[in-house]
Amino acid sequence: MNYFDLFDLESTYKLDKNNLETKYLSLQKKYHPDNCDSIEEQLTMVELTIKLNEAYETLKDDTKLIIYYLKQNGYDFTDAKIQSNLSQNDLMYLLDLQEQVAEGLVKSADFKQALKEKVSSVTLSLVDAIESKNNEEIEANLSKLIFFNKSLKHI
Amino acid sequence: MSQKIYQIDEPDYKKVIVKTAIGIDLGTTNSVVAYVKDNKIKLLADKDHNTLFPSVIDIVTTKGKEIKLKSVKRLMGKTFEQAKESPVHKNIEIINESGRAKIATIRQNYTPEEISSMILKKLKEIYRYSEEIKELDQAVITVPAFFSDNERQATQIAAQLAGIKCLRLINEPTAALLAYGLESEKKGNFAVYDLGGGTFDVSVLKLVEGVFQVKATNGDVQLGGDDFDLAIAKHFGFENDYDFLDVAKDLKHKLTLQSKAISEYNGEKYELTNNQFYKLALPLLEKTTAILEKTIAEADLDELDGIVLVGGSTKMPIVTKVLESNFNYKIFNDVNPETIVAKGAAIQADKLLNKNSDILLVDVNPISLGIETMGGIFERIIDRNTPIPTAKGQNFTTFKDNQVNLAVNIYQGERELVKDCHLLGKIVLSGIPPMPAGMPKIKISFILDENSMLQVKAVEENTGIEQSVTLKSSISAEDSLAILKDSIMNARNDVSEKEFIKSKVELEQVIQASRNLLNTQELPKAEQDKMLKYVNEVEEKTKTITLKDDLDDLRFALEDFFKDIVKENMNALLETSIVGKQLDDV
Repeated sequence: MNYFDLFDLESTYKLDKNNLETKYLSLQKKYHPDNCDSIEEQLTMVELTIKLNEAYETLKDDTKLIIYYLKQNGYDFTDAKIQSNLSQNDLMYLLDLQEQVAEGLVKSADFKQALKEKVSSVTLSLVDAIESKNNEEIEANLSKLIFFNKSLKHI
Repeated sequence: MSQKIYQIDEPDYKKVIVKTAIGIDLGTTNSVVAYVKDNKIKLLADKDHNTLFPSVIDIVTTKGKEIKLKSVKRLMGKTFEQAKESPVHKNIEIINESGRAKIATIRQNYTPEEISSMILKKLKEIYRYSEEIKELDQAVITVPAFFSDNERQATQIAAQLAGIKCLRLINEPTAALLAYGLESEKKGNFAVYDLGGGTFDVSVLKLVEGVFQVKATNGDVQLGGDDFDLAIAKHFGFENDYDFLDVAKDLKHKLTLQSKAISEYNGEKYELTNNQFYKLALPLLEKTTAILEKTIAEADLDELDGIVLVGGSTKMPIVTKVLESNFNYKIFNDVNPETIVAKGAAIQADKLLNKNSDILLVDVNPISLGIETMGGIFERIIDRNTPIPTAKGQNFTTFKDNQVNLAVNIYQGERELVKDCHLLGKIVLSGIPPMPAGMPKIKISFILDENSMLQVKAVEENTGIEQSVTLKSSISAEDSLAILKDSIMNARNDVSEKEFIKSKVELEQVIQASRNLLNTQELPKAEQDKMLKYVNEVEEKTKTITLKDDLDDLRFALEDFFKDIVKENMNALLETSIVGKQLDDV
């Protein structure tokens, strides 16, 4: 069962986050292991809640949501493919920033902020590409997004 | 309490047995017990109506000094190296027992868990006299949100040693909001600022429709009221004088109500004004506001409805003052900051025992969990603030050609290198078929359940060989069994620590009385020397005795020895004097 089905939501990269949260909370109440009576049920409930938490963490985040949506729709990427899709500019941008942080010219917090902004702007371009159904642009931007999002996580 | 929650006994609602739900706030300075009775939350009170019970144990140090051992919570789950740095335990001897910190007393060495279990036993004792509840055998116990797994495990062991089944450990700020949210029927997003006696925590929670969702949590397990006392002591040049800490605390307490406080120590007067205290406290409070700001940012919420103050140290007026000047949020300081945590624990206990599904607490993993990779780098598997239960996996591979074993060291922390994190345990995956480096596909999965129990599994995916371990902390199952056994064997001693002190004091009194007697009685020189020698011997022996019964035996022997000799000599003296009197007066 994919994440959208789990929440009984339409598969889209434009989710109503309030609606998502309401569904999440009502499912939590239904499946949280603390709310179950029998030990037999417990294990199933734990597994369900784990899946629920995982799904919610993914869908509530714009970037994770769009990556998940595209993967669901056949755009899957290996590390090698992402790298081949990245431009020299993207790599240089990150390396430059990393160097400046290492030399103490840029604060680590500012680096994080810069990457966050980069992730947001790439996300917007990706939405444009999806809407104009430009396959090449979708692939390029998705690679960028995965790449910068990973870098952000590793700060 | 909230009617919404505790009127669940509708006519059609069949509860077979309602189990007494008990919550314990095992605090650094004071401990509080709350329970649910007749759908109301009540606080355990002793016969003098006290609801705050000092987390203090009387011990006799190795130097023979009787002291009150305080703030043992600050030593829970700490290694010897960490514990010996504790600024508020300069008056006790902390010894190293295979890396673990133990508190040396004249009788034996105690782990912080054992001392903590004595505090719990004292609470059990009070319970026995309470009219409503007769048994304190299971409870939800609270811990600082930022307690590591080791510190949590130590708390669980303390409960086990005291014969209390720990239904669950819940985080103090979360418990506080659980009670506060229900009592005040509030909804929305709140930050809980919890400044206790020895720890500081912040949690940001979202309250919607009975679900309490923890969004972010953070803290400092070495920052609390104790540190404000230390700052005052330092101000007067007494940072190394443990006894002055009580004076510092007294000044601090007085300043919650007045602008100038005076306290006495060794005949001298010490005066502290609010302005002076403000300057001393500011660096500490700035640490808390930095953590608060960071946590609010991490919670990533559109808006915040206010900051709820809990923990005894928020009674200092400067806390509200500093928060108001630093943040533009409403400050809620209308709760009793000292009892709210225990109440929340009782609510959670009621939920778990009696399956009250109207409320639900969705907690997060407070500190990132991960493993050690090449070069001592900490690789996170489950990030902090991830809602639990959760399961996460990551793929790894071997570093050397034909590597047949792979050791996975499991750590918890927020730093980049494992040397700065807490080691929780390890698993060894053996029997990997010889392959070139990088070929084996090893999947490491972490499962963290709703009780915050961590299970780690390693699978080599080409061959399917696997190894798994369930971790509670670095204290392995055997270790905790050993501690338990050790403690059961010493259980008699634990309970009789107080008795021992009593016997020792009695013996010391008899020794002193004997000396007085020797000084005032005119005994023949030879007799006097003989007796003095005996008294000195007894006094020497006292220092090495570790059992109450031995102390008592020694006292009886001394009393007997004295009785006989004194009687003999007294008779002789009496006879002479009577004879003399007879000669003179009769």
